[in-house]
This record gives sequence, structure tokens and C-alpha cells, in this order.
Amino acid sequence: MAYPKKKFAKLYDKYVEKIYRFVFLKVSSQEEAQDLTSQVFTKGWKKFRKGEKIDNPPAYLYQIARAEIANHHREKAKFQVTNAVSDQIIDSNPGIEETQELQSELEILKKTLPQLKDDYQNVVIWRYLEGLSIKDIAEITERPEGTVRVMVHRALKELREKMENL
Amino acid sequence: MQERQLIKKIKELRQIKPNKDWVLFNKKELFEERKEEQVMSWLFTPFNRPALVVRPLIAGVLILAGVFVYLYLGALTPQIVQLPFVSERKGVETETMVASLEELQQSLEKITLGLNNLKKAKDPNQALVMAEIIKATAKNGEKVLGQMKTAGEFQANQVLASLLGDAYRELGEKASNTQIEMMGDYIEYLSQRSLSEEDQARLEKAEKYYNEGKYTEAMILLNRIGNN
Repeated sequence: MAYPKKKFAKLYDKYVEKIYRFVFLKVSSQEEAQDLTSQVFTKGWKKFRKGEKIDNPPAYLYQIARAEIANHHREKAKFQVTNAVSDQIIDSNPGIEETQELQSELEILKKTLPQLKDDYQNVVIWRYLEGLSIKDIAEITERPEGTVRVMVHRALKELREKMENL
Repeated sequence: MQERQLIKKIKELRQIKPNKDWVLFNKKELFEERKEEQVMSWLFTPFNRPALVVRPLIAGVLILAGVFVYLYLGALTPQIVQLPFVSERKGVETETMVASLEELQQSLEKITLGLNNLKKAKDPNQALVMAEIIKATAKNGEKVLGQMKTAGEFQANQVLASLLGDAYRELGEKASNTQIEMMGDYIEYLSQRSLSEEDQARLEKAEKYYNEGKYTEAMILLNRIGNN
């Protein structure tokens, strides 16, 4: 049955991991990612409980996430806070050789990804990491599908070049 | 690096996952009542006897209406009659208006506290009715304050009336949201219980109204469930 709390709880279960991952790749720590993800769902829930219809849940939540991240970076820039400690990507058992190797590769990717411009980072994450369709991305970014297709292509090309130059 | 390899590597970033405990904790926090809403409410205390609550609320609305009539009709009095007493009338208006605004502000605080505690009510039916009353009171408050703002002659009073009017409007919206949420929970609760055929039909109809956004109609039907 369709009730606000129950419905939104389902949305939370389905998208919390994706939103967290999206945020985590854009900020420097687990704590920041948790705080921002929490804010995304709190804001989403506030709107949802008022009866606002959500036609496209991922688009809706990613839009809030983008705004929150942008706001976070603006606030952070004001105080010029730098965090030297980089969090581990995977919350896994330490000491396993394979995991460490994978961790290292992923760390490189995670460090390279932010070198792309923000729009390119987003489309790479949405298209290849989260498997969103071009149509969905077009809806989130409010851009024509053709433009999104070109962006995805260029973003991947640029990322590949940057990875090769490391 | 081949494009395919890169895409594969990107997909491996799916291993980034939030801590499971945090996910659960955050979900709980999301739907939990805010701490400041735990304050014991004047509205919740006499909950077993709604009349004790309804009467002051109705009285409040009547007072608001009275203040409005006084100020509005006062404003309609011909200028020629007012002129000799203008300073005296202004003094009366200021005193009356400030007192009324203060009273309205106090009422607003109390009603807000009451609204925050509605979700803890033992009888969801009464809670829904109370939310409806608060909505109506807030609407009236907003209306009267809007008229007080226009009728008032002093800028400070006008500003205060305007601010309070906004606060009453927000209260009305909050009451409406709370009512929708409580109603959803109540329908869900009732749907898990065995009901008589008649009540089951009411519940289904109430649910239909609820999903269509016809909350008042849904509330009326919900109130009749169990009261055959």
C-alpha cells in the first residue's frame, strides 16, 4: 500500500547506497559523505511527506545530492579546511593482498575522477557506475539526450587520458 | 588502457558502500520525532477529554474574530467622527492590538507544542480531529492577522501582525502534513486488523480518498470505523 513513510522508506533502502557512493566520490571523507547523504534524504523526506509526487526517484535524489554537494564545497571553501587524511574506499577486512591491490587501483581512479570537471564526473558515475540510462541522466541534468551522450563520450575519453598519464 | 577496461574499473567502484550500521541508524533518525518535540503538551495532557481542548481553541478563534471586528469596524467609522479622538483611538488601538498580538503569539506557541505531540496520541482518531481543528485555527489566525495588519495604523504592529500571520500559515501547513502522515499510518494500522464488513468498506473508501488527496473525506470515514 502506498503511504508516505513506507514509500519513502523503500526509496531510502533502494537508493541510500547509490547516493552515498555518489557523494563519497565527491567529498574527501566518510563522515562528510554520511552527513551529506543524510541531508539528502532528510530534505527528500520533507518534500515527500508534503505529498509531492516523485516521478523519477533517482533523478529527484541526485538533484538534491548535487545541490548539497555544491553547497558543501562552497561552505568548505569559505573556511579553507584541508583534510590530509584520506579515507579508505572499501570498508573491508584489512590485510588481504587482493583487496589491497584492488584498493590501490580504485584509489587511483578515485583520485583521477575529481580531476574531471564536475559535469563529466557526474555523467561517468551515473552512466558507468550506477548504470543509469541516457534518458535518466538527461532528466537529472535537464539537458537534451544528445548533449548527454556527447558528454558521456568526452568524459570517458578524458578520464582515460588522465589515467594513462599517471 | 582500453575503454572497456576503464568501464570495468569504474564499475568496481560499486564496492564503495556505506557502513551498514550507519544506514540503519540514519533510517531510524530520518523518521523519528525530533527531540524538541518531546516536550509535554498542554494539548496532549487532557487528550481523553477533547472538549477541554476544543473549547479553548474555539474560544481562541472567537477572540480573534472579535479583535478583527473591533479593529475593522473601527476603521470603517467615518473620519469626521474620529478626528477629535484620533490620538485617544490610536492609543486604544495600540494597546488592544499589542495585547491581542501577544495573546496570539502565546497561543501559537502552545498550539505548536500541541501539534508536535499529536503523533503520540493514543487515539489516532482524536488526533486526526485535533489536527483538523488546528488547521482551521491556524487558517483563521492567519486570516485575522492579515486583516489586523491592514487595519493597524502603526508600522511596528503591522510588521508583528505580518510575522505572526506567516507563523500561523506555517503552523497550518505543518498541521496538514502531520495529519496526512498520521492518516497514512492509521490506514496502514487498520488494514492489518480484522474489521467488520461495513468498516472494511469504509476503510477501502477512506484509502481511496487518501490516495486521491481528499483528506477530509478520508478522515470522516476513518472516524466512523469502529463506531457502528
